[in-house]
Amino acid sequence: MRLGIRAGRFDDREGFVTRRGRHDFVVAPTIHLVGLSMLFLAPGLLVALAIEWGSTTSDDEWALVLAVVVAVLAGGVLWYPTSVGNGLSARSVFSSVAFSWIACSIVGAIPYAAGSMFSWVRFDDALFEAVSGFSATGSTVLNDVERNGAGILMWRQITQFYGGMGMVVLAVTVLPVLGVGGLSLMSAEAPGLSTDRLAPRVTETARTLWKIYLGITLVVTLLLWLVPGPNLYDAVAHAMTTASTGGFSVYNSSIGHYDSWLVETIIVCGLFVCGINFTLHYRALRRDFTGYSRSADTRLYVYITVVAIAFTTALNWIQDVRDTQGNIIDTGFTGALRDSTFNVVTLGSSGGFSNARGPDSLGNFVLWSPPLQLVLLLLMVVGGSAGSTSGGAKVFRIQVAFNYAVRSVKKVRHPSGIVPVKLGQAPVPPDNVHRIIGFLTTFLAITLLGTLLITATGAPFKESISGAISAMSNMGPALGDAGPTSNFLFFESRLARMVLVVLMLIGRLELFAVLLMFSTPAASFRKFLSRR
Amino acid sequence: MTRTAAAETFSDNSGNTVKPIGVYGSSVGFASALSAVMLTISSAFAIGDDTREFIVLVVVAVVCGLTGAALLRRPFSPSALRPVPTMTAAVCGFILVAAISTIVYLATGAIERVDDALYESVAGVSTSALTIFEDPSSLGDGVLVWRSATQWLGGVGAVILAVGLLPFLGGSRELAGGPQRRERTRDALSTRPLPAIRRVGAIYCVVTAVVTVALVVAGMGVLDAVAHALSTVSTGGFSTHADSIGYFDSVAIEAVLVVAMLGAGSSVAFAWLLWRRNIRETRRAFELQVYLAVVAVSSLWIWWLRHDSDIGVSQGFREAAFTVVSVMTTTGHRISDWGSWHPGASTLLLVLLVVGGTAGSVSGGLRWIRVIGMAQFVWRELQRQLHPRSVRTVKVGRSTISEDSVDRMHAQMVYVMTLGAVASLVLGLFGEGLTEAITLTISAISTMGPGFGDAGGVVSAADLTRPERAVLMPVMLTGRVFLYPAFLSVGAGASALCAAMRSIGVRR
Repeated sequence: MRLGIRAGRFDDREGFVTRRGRHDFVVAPTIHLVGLSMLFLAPGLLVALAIEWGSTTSDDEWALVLAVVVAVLAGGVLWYPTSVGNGLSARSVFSSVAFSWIACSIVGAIPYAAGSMFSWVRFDDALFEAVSGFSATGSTVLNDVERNGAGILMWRQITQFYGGMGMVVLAVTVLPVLGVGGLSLMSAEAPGLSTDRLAPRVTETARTLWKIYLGITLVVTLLLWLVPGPNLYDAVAHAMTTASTGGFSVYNSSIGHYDSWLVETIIVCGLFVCGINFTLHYRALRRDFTGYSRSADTRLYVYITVVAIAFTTALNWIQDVRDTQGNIIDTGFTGALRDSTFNVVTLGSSGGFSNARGPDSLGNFVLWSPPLQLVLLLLMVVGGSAGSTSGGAKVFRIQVAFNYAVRSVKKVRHPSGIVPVKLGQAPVPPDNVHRIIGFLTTFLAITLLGTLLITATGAPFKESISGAISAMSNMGPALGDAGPTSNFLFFESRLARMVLVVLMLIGRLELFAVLLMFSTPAASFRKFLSRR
Repeated sequence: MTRTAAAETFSDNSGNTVKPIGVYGSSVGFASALSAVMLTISSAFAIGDDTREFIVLVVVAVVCGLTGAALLRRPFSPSALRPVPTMTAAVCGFILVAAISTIVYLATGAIERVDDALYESVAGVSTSALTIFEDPSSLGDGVLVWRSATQWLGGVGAVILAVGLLPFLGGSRELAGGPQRRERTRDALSTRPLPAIRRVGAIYCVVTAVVTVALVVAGMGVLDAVAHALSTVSTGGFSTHADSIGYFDSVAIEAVLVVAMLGAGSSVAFAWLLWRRNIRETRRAFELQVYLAVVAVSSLWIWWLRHDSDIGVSQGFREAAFTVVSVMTTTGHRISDWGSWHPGASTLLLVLLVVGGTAGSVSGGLRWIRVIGMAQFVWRELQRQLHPRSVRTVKVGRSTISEDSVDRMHAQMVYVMTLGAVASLVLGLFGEGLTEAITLTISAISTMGPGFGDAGGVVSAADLTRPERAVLMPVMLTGRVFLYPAFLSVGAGASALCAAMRSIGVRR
């Protein structure tokens, strides 16, 4: 019995075969990808290190150096001797994606734990911040963001940049041998409606996606730098977390720091665009703009956003909104429109920025009236379109679920009728329908389980359920006392915060990867046991 | 929608042809007849108490009795059962009982405003405990018994719908509850609707009588025993006192009620099998086992979560067990304000409330069989990610659930969530807080009882404004008739209205 960590082939009958003979462990592809993902973190860490070095106000360079060393060494040790073989089995896909993300999160937490942000004793909080970064959630357990060094904060933004498009997709861009399994890898990291191939080879598809992503980031950076307010550092930082619909900011009051409707408009547009399927953007770059109107879930996403903005603006304008002291906040129509639009779009695309100028402004949506908070909660659950960087259960799944439910009622009246489930005009095959319904049921079940665990630690109902939904949908803020002007230290129990960390990972990797991540090691273990 | 003409003709004893009645007639007749019986019983309690109540109850009883007798003497052809008219007729039956009850409340002076009387009637018929009375003991005896009787009638209607009608109208046979068998050639109750309905009615009456006697033995007065038996067997939850069961503070009474509630939350088919001494069949009860296991585990978990507070060990266990059973069977009897408990406990209870009791029982909610079916479905999908070409079936215990039924289970979940979201939104628009709106809506759809707020405490209908109560009325009724019959009835009503408008010449 030997460990299969040499270059070899993955044969259907023999298992993993090298020149030396048969091997019993088939964990090589997973280990290889985990190592590669860790190596990919190094450039980002180096950029943050450079900034920290150049910054005169802080000296957490050694924390970042440690992180670089760990990333390169651990990544190298895992990557160099292993190989993917001929392709990936279905099992390995899920394990690879899940373990890569966990490894990257741990490495990404090292600068926080080794530096002055948290201490090694509070590694779980560092891990929370790292996972919130990579999963593009945007929840924080920092009381004072601005206290930390420029480089560390930039690393925080960079983690969201990585996580938005995904480290595995990054791996697919450079590993031609992953071509065969690459499509399923990309689907496991963030499944789309149909894995639309943008190019004949999967590597090209992955590269194109990253190019569009980088392009959006650059455009937003430029726009933010040009308007008065943000300097270049701010522009780059916020552009990265806009493109990934993450929501981290380098300021305590997030976008409220600028109090500028220009900045908010740019960020709103960036978030909205990133909530739309990237395939449609690719087609638009090739002058084919019909994709946007033909795609049923994009239409619904736009429709939901517009209706939500209208509803929230109307209610915020007409009703009296009271601040934390009980005084009525004085807002005109433009104020209501600005704050409603920003918060609706940021929650609907799973962003997580806040434009509150303090706990007593209208941007602090925990002050809004209960039906509006329910609307925000529903927006959190629904999320953006498939194939985008936003989170949530995705619009197309909700569409299919409704169509499916209406069809059931129709079948009571016409039991022998054949009524297909449709998405827009196109019928959806039953297998896909079942997968979608299975996903939604699992999403609901895991959210409820998370809520039960968090409330069991003592957190109140409203904050717990909105926190769990926020984590699963990779949103950012919750309701109640864990809202946009507060942070998740409200959940005093460390167990509650760990539950949220797990929920964030599960939600980002679209449930199945984390739920099935142990299937490859389990299968290898079973084979190992049966060899005797 | 074409009407099928009754193909058979009937003749009465003297040889004249008698026109048979359709589903609407029999539903109205049935509802009237049963109401008459209940009104008579209530009037018996009003004898020594209040003359006005007695007269009103007797008069309404006589009117209902005559109507019911006249309608039910006509024959009814079961082959005329078609899905949409039957469901609409059932909903009409519920509404009729609510209307009778409104008249009773107004005529006896128990409630002054029409909309309040209507609300209390609907809360009764839909077996929720969302009462507008903060202190029911101020009502007269007859009205108190009638109040609980409305819940009993609502429960009878619901369980007949669930077990005797819906499985034969295109619903899932699995939702008629009962033991799981590999082949469903013989349903526990009957393969035809009418015998099933008769048996269900018989079981219901017997169980109510038994519970009444048990409560009297446990120490309640006769009035309280009758009222509580009526509202427990129907998992309704109306009580004769403001503190609900907390008023009695008696372990014996709580024990009797726990057993009664558990029985009410189990499928009627099991009661029938036990009556026929068919013990062998009752062992294959996967759903029931899951249900009882969840009751046990939840009670222990809640008891453990609350062990830090200032209550004693035995009191804590009493409260945990009673509340868990009351919530899981969607009854609503209270011995403590569970909204102000540890948030882990109250959230768990809220989740259990959504699920409700077992299939084929009189409790509300989504039912455990749907949860089991959906869990199996999810497991199957996870396996399919690894083995895309595998073929698996969804099973509960030993019986396989057809794909159509699985579809319907998921659809029901979507309905519940949509109705919940819309109702919470509307309640919020009328001024309720977020937590209150959500818990009240969940409670109304599962027909349990009061909700709770951010600060804990009990939020009952007495704390709601009139528009909010008006919103909750259709929600409670929809929840009681298992949602999709209500949707279909509304659709049928709308299309009937359009047809009527077209026939009187209103053109587009």
